[in-house]
This record gives sequence, C-alpha cells and structure tokens, in this order.
Amino acid sequence: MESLIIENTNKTPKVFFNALSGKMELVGRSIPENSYQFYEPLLQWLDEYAKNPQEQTHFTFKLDYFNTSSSMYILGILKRLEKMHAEGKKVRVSWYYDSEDEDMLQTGEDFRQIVKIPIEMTELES
Amino acid sequence: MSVVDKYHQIIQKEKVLLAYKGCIDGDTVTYLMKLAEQNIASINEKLIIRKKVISILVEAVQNIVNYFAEESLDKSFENESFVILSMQNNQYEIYVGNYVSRHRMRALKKRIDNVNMMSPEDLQKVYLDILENPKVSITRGAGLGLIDMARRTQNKINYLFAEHDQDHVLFMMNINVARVKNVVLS
Repeated sequence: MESLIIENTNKTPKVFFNALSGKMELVGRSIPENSYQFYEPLLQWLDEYAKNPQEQTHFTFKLDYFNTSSSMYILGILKRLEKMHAEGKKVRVSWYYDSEDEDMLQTGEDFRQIVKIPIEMTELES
Repeated sequence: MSVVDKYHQIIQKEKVLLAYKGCIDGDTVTYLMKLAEQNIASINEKLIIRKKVISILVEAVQNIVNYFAEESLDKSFENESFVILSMQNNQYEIYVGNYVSRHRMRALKKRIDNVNMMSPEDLQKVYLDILENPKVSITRGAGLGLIDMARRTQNKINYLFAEHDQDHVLFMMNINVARVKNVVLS
C-alpha cells in the first residue's frame, strides 16, 4: 500500500501517512471551506490501511487550530483508530498542544471523552 | 472634514485592524486571515490569543461562505457581506454581516438565542453531542460553529437583523475575544 503524503497549505495541514512504518501525522492548521474534499481521501486511505495494519500504529496530531467542520473529520480519523484498537491492534495516539493553548488541550480532552482509545496529551513549549 | 479624515478618525477611534466589504469566497477567506494575522501580530499580541482570534474569525467568515453555498441569493446580495476586526477595551471584537432570506433569519435567531441561553456546561455537553451525532450535512459544520464560538470565547453572540426588503434582511453578528484569560469562578 502506498503512503499518503500531502504538503500543507494556508488552510490544510501536512499529511504524512506511512503505511510501512504505521506512523501517521497531521501537522498545521485545518480550516478548509470544504472539509469533505480534503478529509475524505484521508479516511479512505485509513479504511484501506485498517484491512491490514502494521503491528503498531502511531497517529500524531500536531495542529495549530482547526474549524468545526474539520473537527468532525478528525473524530472520523479517531473512530477508525478506535476500531483498529478494538480489533486487537496496537494503536497509539499523540495529541500535541502549545503549553498555553487551552483550546487545543480542551479539544484533545473532548475527543478523549468520545473515543475509547488512549490519547496521550503532550505539551509543546510555546 | 474631508472624507479621508472621517474614515481615518473612525479607524483610529475604533482601533480597526481589518475591514472588508464585498463578496467572500474561499480565496477571500485566505487573504483576510493572512491580513488579520499580520495586523494582530503587529501589535505584539501573544501567539495564543492570535490563534484564538483567527480561529473564531475563520468560523464566523466561513459561516457566510457556507450560507451562500447552501442558499443562492442574487449576486448583488453576496457583494454586501462584510467583516470587521477591531481591538477595544482589552478585547478583540469581530463583526460580520451578510444578507439572508427571511426564512433563514428565523432559523438563525432561534439558534443563536438558544446558544446564548446555555451555561458553559450546557454548551460543552451540546458541543460533544453534535460532534458525535451530526444531525445535518457533515460537509457544512452541522451548526457546531456557533456553539464552538460561544464555548471558546465564553461570551454571548450579539446579533441584529436590519430590514431590507420583503424577502431579505441584513444579518449582523458580533463576538468578542478577551485578551486576557476569562476567569471562571467555580
């Protein structure tokens, strides 16, 4: 399976999904007008990956900020990771936030309440 | 007083950081965000507040883009949309406006009144509920935007509808972002 790599833009984060290592990253800001257009290929890629995932999958979110339509797709990503986890695969999720960014910390906590996978909250020095 | 003088005085007095009137599409949003970021940075605002103001501004402006994508009004109405960002009384003030149909006005009024009546705990609960079970089209934010703005700013959403004609009204909305952390008393 091919890896999925998309460079960041003014409105969309950098995507680095490595099928061979099981490491995936979303980095930057996510404020597209049409979140479906941006996130649907990511979700499709994850569905394909989930059919035959690596022994361990590590997903890193390092987002500056995102709009509410992105937040639904981020939850969609987490739901897919949750499913892999429920099927017995090792899944690690890291959620990074700037030390003073309470909004990003809160959002990470919100997702933690919704999905049943451990999400590690990691503070970045701002 | 000359016109230029008049405008300059308004900009100074109201501490306007950004003002735009015209059609708002995806590209406009990109430019507006870039200018807003630069202008907030130029007054040495803390990164964390900058991020908050920009993200709330994005949500407010994209509401307009999404509205015109959903309901097509005459182009002349789209050209009357506006956005203003100012910094007064230790808070950033975001004002947006756009024409809407009367039908939309009723739905908006109900939705904002509803959001304004909620306690911070209610907002948090409803936010999580909608996030998990979006009722409307997932592509368009499911009305989560207003709830998220109120939740994150801990402020009420002020709004006004100005009469225009039989079928249309001008919807104006204001939301403020405090420069210092709001203290929540427990």
